[in-house]
Amino acid sequence: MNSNITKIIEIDKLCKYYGKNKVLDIDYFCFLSSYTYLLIGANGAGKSTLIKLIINLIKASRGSIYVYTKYISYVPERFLFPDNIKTYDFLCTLCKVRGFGATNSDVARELEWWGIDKDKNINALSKGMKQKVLIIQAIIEDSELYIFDEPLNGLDPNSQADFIQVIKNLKRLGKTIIVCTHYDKYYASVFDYLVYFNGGMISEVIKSN
Amino acid sequence: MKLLNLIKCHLSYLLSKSSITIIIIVNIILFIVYITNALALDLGSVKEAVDNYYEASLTMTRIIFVLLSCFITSNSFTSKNDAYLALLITSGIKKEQYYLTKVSSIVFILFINIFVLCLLYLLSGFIFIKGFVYDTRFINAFLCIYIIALIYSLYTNLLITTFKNLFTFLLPTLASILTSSLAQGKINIFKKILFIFFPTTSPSQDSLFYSIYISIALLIILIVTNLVLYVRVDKRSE
Repeated sequence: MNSNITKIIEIDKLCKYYGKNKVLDIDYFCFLSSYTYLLIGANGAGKSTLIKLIINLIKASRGSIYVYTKYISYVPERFLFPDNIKTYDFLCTLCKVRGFGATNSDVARELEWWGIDKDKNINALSKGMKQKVLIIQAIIEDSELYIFDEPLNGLDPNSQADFIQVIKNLKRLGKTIIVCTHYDKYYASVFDYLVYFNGGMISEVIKSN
Repeated sequence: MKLLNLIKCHLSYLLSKSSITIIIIVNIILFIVYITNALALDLGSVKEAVDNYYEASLTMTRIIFVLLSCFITSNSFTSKNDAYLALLITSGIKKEQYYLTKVSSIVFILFINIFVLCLLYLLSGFIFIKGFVYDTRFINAFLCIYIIALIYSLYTNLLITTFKNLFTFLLPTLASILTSSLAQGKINIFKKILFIFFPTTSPSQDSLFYSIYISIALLIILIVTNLVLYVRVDKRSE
């Protein structure tokens, strides 16, 4: 493991309300760089809300969340792709907008590795293939922090294994990974910390053996 | 370059199959309206025919184009069509940058569309009305419709950001129809104040009720208000 472990995300007295409903309440927690975290919990436990707060999609009602990196790759749980655009063109445009340095040839290579026809219209792809495109747009970038919200949705067993391999490769590169999931058993070989959520709070944190 | 790619990204979402289909249908409908008006109103002198053609076509264009503009704006800011924000803000693109480029893309699409409608109007006039000549008031009238459509689209933007409901676009559309019908009658102080915030064209349709500067000021105020609201409001469902 990397010897220069630093905090990459720090949460301090964080609270989030939707209307009068308190959906997240974390007193203190920090995510350390170069570790892999699994966020586990039932629906509505607060996992996705925390992720949205990390990426600044929503604002905290109270408290603070400090993210010590500008470079985040993110796979959302649900996503709408545009019509009338080839998979390759979509990913190339996205890479150019994000400006992390991924090139068109990187896009072509990744699409080939995941078995996706680069000339196919993105909305003609199956659900599993679209999920792969979402994963590609995240892993193609050289980010410091990778956040995956239910990344195995729609993937067949082979692709799930491929994804676990991707996580292993990212770990080897010393990247910080946060995976939001209901299925911790798939990640048994890769996680460093299991973070259990219950009723908007972190109920338990287990370190991997 | 990055900004251009961001606009390209917005356009790929804005020009979805459903949006393109609706835009094409609206353009065809308005072209048919222009042709029908040109053929049906070919009575009396050339001037009379041109004036009738102008009046009937422009009224219809204003109603339908405002409706289309409000729909495009509303549709582009629904949770589903705005979900790609999550992939962009994680790379350091600010919400302000995202919002302003998105609005610019909508403004661009609407400009192209009003330009096409203006061409269709002139084309149908030249083909179907004998003695039809180009007049700058046609361009002015279409520009007025464009500015009005932008203002009501920004009102739609306020509503969709606040209430997160696609159908909120109907309210500004109704407001625009209401103000244009109010402009036909006697103008009192209430109407004068109303037209500052809900602008409409003058009865001759080739100029705005107030100066263009008032409308530009209103456009700027609405863009800033929308921007502040957009940055503050949570994007809950992706």
